[in-house]
Amino acid sequence: MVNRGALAGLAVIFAIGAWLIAAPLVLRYQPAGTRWTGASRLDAAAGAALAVAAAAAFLVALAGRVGELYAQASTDAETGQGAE
Amino acid sequence: MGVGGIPGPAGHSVRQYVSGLCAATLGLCAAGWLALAPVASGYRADRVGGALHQAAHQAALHQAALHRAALADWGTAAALGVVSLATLLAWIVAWRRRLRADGILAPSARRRAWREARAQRRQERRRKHDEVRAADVTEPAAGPPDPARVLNELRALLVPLLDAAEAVRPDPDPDQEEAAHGERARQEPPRQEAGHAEPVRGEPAVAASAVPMPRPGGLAAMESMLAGAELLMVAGSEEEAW
Repeated sequence: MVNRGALAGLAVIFAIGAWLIAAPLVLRYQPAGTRWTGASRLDAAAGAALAVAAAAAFLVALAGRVGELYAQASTDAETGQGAE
Repeated sequence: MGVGGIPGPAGHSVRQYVSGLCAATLGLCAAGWLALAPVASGYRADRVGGALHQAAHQAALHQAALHRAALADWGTAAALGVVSLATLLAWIVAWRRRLRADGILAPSARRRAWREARAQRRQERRRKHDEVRAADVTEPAAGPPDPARVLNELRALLVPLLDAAEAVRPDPDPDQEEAAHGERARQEPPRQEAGHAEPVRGEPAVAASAVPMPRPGGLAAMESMLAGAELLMVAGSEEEAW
């Protein structure tokens, strides 16, 4: 019964995490070939944490949904056999 | 065993909702951190430290880069905050629905009463609207009666009488009809001349032409009355328009 909006929200959070990892290079506030600045490190760390958490939650929600479908299918099969 | 020691499929469902809630909450916390970090953490220190040991233009570049980093963090924090809040609410709603569907969470009596009251108000409003529409169809809103409608109703009442009277009357002699027609034609010009000399208040000349096929005898009086009523109605409506 997980609605699609909730799953989509997790996907968007993952995308924002990926954006934070790439932002120092895309916006060029991290010069190439130099030591990483504090801002770059902070953004990369926050982005990585967000991406990992969102991906894990998305996969767990998906697994739960698949489990529900399996349970529903087995219940339907049992009721069908009982009816016969 | 699932989360909280709940066995079986119920454990799976609890796990997925909890993980979704955790991810959304983490997103909210990260948004808050990203909003505060440019001010609270090492951006200023980097700027100060960098400026001491670099040339002026490099220091300016460095400051511009940090400014860009701060803007990027604030923008990302705003977007992440909105998305995380929406995701959190969506997971909460989904979980509550699941709990209600499983019968664990009973719908609150107050909410149910509010829903029933709202449904009842809608039904009453619909019923009143239907009643008003039905009343308008049978009797239009109070106001000046439509002249055309009144005339049509008059005609509907009189035409059967006219037909009945004509059915009772014996078949007319064609010679008598011609004589009556000739007499009428002779009478018309003097009436019209009088109309030119003194402007009569309009009815007779116009009434004669308004009656399409005047019938002989006393029935003509009834038809002329009908034509007169029609003229009065038209005049009245023109006055109102003025």
